Amino acid sequence: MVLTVEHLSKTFGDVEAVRDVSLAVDEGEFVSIVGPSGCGKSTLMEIVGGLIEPTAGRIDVSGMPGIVFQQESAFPWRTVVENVAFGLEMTGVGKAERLTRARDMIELVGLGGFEDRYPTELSGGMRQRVAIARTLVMEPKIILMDEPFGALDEQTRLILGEELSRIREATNATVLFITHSFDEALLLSDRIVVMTARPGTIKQVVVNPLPRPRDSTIVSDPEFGRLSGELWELLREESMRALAGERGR
Amino acid sequence: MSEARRVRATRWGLVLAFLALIEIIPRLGLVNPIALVPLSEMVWQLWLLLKDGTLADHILRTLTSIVAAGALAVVTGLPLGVALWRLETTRRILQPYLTTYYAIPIFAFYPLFIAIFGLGSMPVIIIAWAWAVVAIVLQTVIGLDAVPPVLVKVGRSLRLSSWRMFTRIYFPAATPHIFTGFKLAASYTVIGVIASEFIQAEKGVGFFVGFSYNNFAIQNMYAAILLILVFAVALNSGLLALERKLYGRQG
Ligand SMILES: Nc1ncnc2c1ncn2[C@@H]1O[C@H](COP(=O)(O)OP(=O)(O)OP(=O)(O)O)[C@@H](O)[C@H]1O
Ligand SMILES: [Mg+2]
Repeated sequence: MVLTVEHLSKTFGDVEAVRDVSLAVDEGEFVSIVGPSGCGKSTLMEIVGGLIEPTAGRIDVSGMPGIVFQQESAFPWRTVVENVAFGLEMTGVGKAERLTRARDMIELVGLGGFEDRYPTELSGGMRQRVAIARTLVMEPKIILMDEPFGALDEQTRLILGEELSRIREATNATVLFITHSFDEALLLSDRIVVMTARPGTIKQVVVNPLPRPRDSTIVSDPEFGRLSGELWELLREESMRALAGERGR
Repeated sequence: MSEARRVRATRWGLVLAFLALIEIIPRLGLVNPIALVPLSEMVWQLWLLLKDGTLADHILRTLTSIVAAGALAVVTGLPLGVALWRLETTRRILQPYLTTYYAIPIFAFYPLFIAIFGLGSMPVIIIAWAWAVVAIVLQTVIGLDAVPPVLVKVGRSLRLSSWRMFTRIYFPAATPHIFTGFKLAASYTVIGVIASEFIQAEKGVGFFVGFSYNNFAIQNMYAAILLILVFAVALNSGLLALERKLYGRQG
């Protein structure tokens, strides 16, 4: 197992964000987490990434996880290539090598030709790819991605998802992927973890039976539609509860 | 003509119209000739004063004071700002003083500084520094506070040391704000130096303005004012250009 989470809970003051979550992820696996807004997905991810201390429970991660955050995180004062090389620079990789590796990764995420641009000179989706490249170039054993395509339209996110699939196949990385999109989850994952409304617990883990490799044309497959419906069935009630809970506050 | 170009053209037009008025009004005898001299005479007088070296000493003194006070404001303001940002409690205590700081007419304390340091560059530099430094302190705190938490998380996810967190994330993220502090401080330094020289000093361009005024040397006075204006505008434009060059592409 690359990642083991046991009985994890997190409370912020009087807000119970995550309750008793247990999860094991195998090497090379792609696991998605879906759940209503505010159910503790980002919190769970930041605990796994070592950025937040859990209130209770245990985590075991091999190596330093690479994280792609929900918010835009490209450094505005660095060019694309300087952004992507940042982690390598901080871990003491020599200049020539880190530039070569950064350039290769930029090519891989489809940003070739934009190496010397600043993030403000790119589109939102391109900026997100800078953040993804900055994480991937470190070759982390496990990658945590928090709605990396959240701000994008459905078409763009499916195309980027395809790219991500390709990159992952090439690097055999393990991915924990948070998303709101069932299409994205079904396109990318081996397993899909459905969470309840806050306090977030695991409602059900759905194993994705769709054969690999997949590309975005799979969305028109009838089996895809059936699975999507199943996920929605699971999540509908939780999303309504989450909304009711927010109104009640 | 595009909207932006029309705006720019109008802006320059206003400047030219203003300059033309300064030229024409005294020539038409609309004001007392000892109150205002035509622009061309100011320029000519300034040229004469520069050529015969009358202003050299004053300019040197003023520039030295400005550079000294400005440099002092930067080297003290930055660390003070960083310290204040780090020290939560100290900051909460000082908050109301800092925010009302610019409501204090600090020039009222100038005689005190003269009494302490004597009538030389020192009290001038102290006043200008005191007037400028707080802008840098405040902008530094504001800039460091405004660093998006997600950028900090990126650093922490790479397990950066606190030194690197500061030099590689907080500081570069805050520099656009800090540069604004520098720009303000530059203006405040110039104002601080010129104004205190004007109030009381033995040398300096500000002193020269006051001295000329008291001795009815109205042309000299306007020549020196013109010099100050040109200098202030040039300094500001220079800093704006530098800002655009440094941060223009960072948005
Ligand atoms: N630092 C914090 N301090 C206090 N409360 C927090 C903190 N971080 C998160 N919370 C609370 O914990 C709950 C879960 O937040 P979290 O960001 O993990 O949700 P999420 O599932 O990622 O939501 P979304 O899908 O909208 O991104 C929310 O109620 C939030 O208000
Ligand atoms: Mg979230």
